[in-house]
Amino acid sequence: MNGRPLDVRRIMLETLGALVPGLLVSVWCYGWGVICQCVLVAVVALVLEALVLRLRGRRGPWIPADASVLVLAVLLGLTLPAYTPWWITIIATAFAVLIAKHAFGGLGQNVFNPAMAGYALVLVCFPAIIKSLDGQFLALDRPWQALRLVLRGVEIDTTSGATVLDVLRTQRMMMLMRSEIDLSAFGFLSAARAQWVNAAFLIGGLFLVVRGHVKWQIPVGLLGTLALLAGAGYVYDSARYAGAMLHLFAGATMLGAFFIATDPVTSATTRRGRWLFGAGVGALIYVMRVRGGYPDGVAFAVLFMNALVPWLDNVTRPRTYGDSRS
Amino acid sequence: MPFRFNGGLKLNGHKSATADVPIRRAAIPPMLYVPLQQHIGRRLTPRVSTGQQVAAGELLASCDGYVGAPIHAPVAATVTGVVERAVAARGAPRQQCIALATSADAAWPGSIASEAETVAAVPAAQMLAAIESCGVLGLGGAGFPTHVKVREGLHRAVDTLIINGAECEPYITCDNRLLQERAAEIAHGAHMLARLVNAHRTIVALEEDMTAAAAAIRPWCEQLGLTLEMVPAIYPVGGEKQLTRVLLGREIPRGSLPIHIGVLVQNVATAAAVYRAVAHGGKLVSRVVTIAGDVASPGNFDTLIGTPVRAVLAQAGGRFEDDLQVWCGGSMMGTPLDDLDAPVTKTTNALLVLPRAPARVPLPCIRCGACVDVCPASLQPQALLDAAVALESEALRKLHLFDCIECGCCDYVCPSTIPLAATYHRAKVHLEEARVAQLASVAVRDRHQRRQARLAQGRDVLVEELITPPAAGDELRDALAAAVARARQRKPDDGAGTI
Ligand code: SF4
Ligand code: SF4
Repeated sequence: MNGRPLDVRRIMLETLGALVPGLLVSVWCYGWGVICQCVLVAVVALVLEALVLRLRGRRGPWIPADASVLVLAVLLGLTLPAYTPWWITIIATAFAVLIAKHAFGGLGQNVFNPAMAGYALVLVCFPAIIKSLDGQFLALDRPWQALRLVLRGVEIDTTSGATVLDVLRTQRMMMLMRSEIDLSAFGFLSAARAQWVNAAFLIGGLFLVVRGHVKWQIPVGLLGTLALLAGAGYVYDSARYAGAMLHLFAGATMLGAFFIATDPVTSATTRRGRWLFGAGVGALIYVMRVRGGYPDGVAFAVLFMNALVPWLDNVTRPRTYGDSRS
Repeated sequence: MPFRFNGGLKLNGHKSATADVPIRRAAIPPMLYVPLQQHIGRRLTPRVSTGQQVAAGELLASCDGYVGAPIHAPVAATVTGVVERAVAARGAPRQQCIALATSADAAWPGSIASEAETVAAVPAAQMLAAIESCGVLGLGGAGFPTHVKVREGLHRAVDTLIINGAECEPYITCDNRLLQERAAEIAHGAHMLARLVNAHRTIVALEEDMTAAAAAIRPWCEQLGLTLEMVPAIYPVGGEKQLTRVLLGREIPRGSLPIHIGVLVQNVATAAAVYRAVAHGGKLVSRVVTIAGDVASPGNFDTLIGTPVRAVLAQAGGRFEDDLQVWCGGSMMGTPLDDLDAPVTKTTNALLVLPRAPARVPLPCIRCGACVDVCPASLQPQALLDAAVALESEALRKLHLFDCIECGCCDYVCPSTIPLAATYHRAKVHLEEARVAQLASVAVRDRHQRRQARLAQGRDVLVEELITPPAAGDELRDALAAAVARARQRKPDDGAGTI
């Protein structure tokens, strides 16, 4: 029972607000490159969005009233590795705005989450670059150094390149026993930073749930399934599979659960549909993390479930009042 | 309450300004315009002529068909003719109205003692005749003639009679006041209806915050063996379907009426009108109208049918300025009324004066699903929207467009401020008109074929056509017109559902 009238602009602005804690922690953990990415994506996205709207003959303020493009920008900026070269960022943004959003008919019509589509495109096209940059953190204390890296392209000597998920995967492939995996190599900050980032997104996400902007069924379904599968794997073979807590607080889990999978436009609309959607994303994340070859499974999991939404909405149609179908 | 319905909204009722103010009488205006069509069904046929003097309560027009309730002169007056004007009903349709110049010495119809005496048992047929001849109809919404609804109840076993006092729509308190001031009439009317249809039990349903009303009617319920139930104040609990579900845990099957599951729903004001008709032969010539919003003296006004809206509003201290918009009905389901000369009809429950809102530019649907969560019919409004805009009749039927009760819950929560209910309403009218057009073309083809067949048989066509009852065509036209009217007027409260 939701008696509070809201408007789209407000929802989007509050969503941006809810992203702030996670954004700040990300900067602290990964450096100023995070901000560089967000700003770059935002500028490009706004220019493209405005151009598209003009081309479609819509007049209005240059920053579209619904502010949804800003949410897209921050989500994409957060998903791309902090030191992604500028041209890759622009390609991802252009694909997200022009193809994933507007080629499908603009706000409300797009089937695929634009931010994830943009990220997935560059991940597929430039896998080596993205993978080598993913999780890089440079404790730079000057924003312009980060900017220079983004503009010039980085040659990072990968001192601390791999994330926890990467290490787990590669070492598992090498059939090492879990006890032999040495997580301490990450040091305190590096091992924990993803957890701090995840915790910060969790806080922002809970705020959105309380405000009613995010329908709780999706994050609960997603995190629940992920925890369940991870727990089961851990119980099955704790030597080879990481436990639930690690999965919940690694990679882009919380960002995905509260901010990406819950994008209203591309997720299911019925109550049961949201449960299934969330559970599907959670299961796919787990499978891709355990078996897949990419840094994290969130983007592909969300995109895959996006494609199923029309079907999900249809099969989970609520029973109309007075209908005999039960 | 053990049962609940899906969705719905907790709304700010905005009722305090009017719920505690006693009902006042609206002044008798110099001119009354009594609409010839106040409910679905056929337009009435006038039984008076221009220049004729009529006494208070004299018949003005009645109906030749089954579905119709006659209208009467509210006070002594002179008939000055028939004029067409917009009336204060949903959608402000234009109707033919009998214009009456009220005489200088006209007086309000005598009031009926509110401490209703025990009524001698009246035979069923006599009760039914009184209800019909006094022009009683559903005062809660669509205005379905009460005798027709009751007669349906005579043919089937009525398990439960529900007297609907769950006035869930914001601002409206006319039933609330009536319960507080005329509880005896309501209870006796309910008792009469119960005996008429042999109801197993009778439930008087009020919203849980209507405590004063409950206190007023409780002793009468105890005395007459009626059950008083308080239902949660969740809009639209007063809708026939929602109320049935909340009280009985049963749903009215799609496309059926409450009577099909042994339930008869009547509004409290209707029950009071039944009492007046049966016990005193009181014609239904006035009703209580809530005047709320931006007026100096909001409250409920007992208003003669046919009184121009402007006159009642003036009495409530309404300003007539451009920044205000008058609504007919409450803030959820009301429709704008621009012509303030429109007369009050038997179904006008509220006139709401609100500041004109700046035009909202709807954004595209972002598929947030808020509408799905609140829809009391458990529809998928966002999916319906696409189909309704494109008028895809197949998709609309699959998505159960006609189960939408146009409650407006989806509009209320939509962050893109899309006028959803109005869009569905237009789609319904469109589909219904298309169906009617198809029916009509089939009828024309059939007639043509019959004529061809007769010609082929070499019979005398002229004679044949003379002996064919011409009424058949009229019947069809009436039926079709009624079908369209139904689609236009359908409302959740006290509605006729889908007869
Ligand atoms: S509430 Fe409005 S924006 Fe949200 S799904 Fe329904 S129609 Fe679309
Ligand atoms: S207006 Fe129709 S679609 Fe909208 S909430 Fe009410 S019943 Fe559902």
